[in-house]
Amino acid sequence: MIANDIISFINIESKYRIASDKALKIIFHPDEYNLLNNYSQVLLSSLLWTCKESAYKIMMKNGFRRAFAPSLYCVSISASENSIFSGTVSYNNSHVCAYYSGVTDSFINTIAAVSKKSLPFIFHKIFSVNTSEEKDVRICNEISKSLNIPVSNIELKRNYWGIPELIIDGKKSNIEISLSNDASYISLAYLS
Amino acid sequence: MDTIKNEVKEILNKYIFDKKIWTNAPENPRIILDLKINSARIVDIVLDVEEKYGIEIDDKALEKIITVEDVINTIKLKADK
Repeated sequence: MIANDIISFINIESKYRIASDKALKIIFHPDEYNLLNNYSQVLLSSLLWTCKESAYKIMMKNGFRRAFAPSLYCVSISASENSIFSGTVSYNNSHVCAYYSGVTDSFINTIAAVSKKSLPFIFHKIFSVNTSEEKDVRICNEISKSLNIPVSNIELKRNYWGIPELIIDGKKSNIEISLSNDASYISLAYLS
Repeated sequence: MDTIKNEVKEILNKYIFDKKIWTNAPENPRIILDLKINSARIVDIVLDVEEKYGIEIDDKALEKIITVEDVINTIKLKADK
């Protein structure tokens, strides 16, 4: 099972309160506060958010049906090098997923999987769109190109819980997909 | 009740891209899925509600907030304490 999440850094401090001091209690697990000694608050809040939301998406795919409460998830950082972070996320002391996150000047993007071994096999791509209407068309185009399937045979659906499903040739595909969108950025991840 | 409902709608409206979404939304819309609010706005909504009503929404309470009614019920529950 896989998931992804992206947060744009563009105007992040004026756009969201995610990086504010008041947001710490909503985002941080008690065991994560010590990480503030090593990383900037904006970077760390964004990193934790994308890791936790990825974990939440995986749990939702697995039948979890509660709202997202970030401070109940705990992120460990096992490695951080050259703007790449990796580690695991737990919920109530139980492993949820392994992740790696890439940081650029413009965004942070996290890819997660229940099993760390799956991470290298996840196809992922980040692109930007000008309008929200353009979003699904562009996603289908990207999938079409990478899987070499005509775009007319690809359809993107979301179930009642917002979980995306890929329909190929009119049938629900075994390809597991995850999508995230912030500002103009779309992060697409799938495992075939 | 209606006052709180209107105030909550006012808070949520700050983060809704297309205000017309209320027209076709279910009677008790889900905040993220039906109102299409970016999930990263959860922090803004929680802080706005806490500041407006002088309450604290802890993690366990937050996990139960999926719909607009859930926000209203949480406010009433916390304000009564």
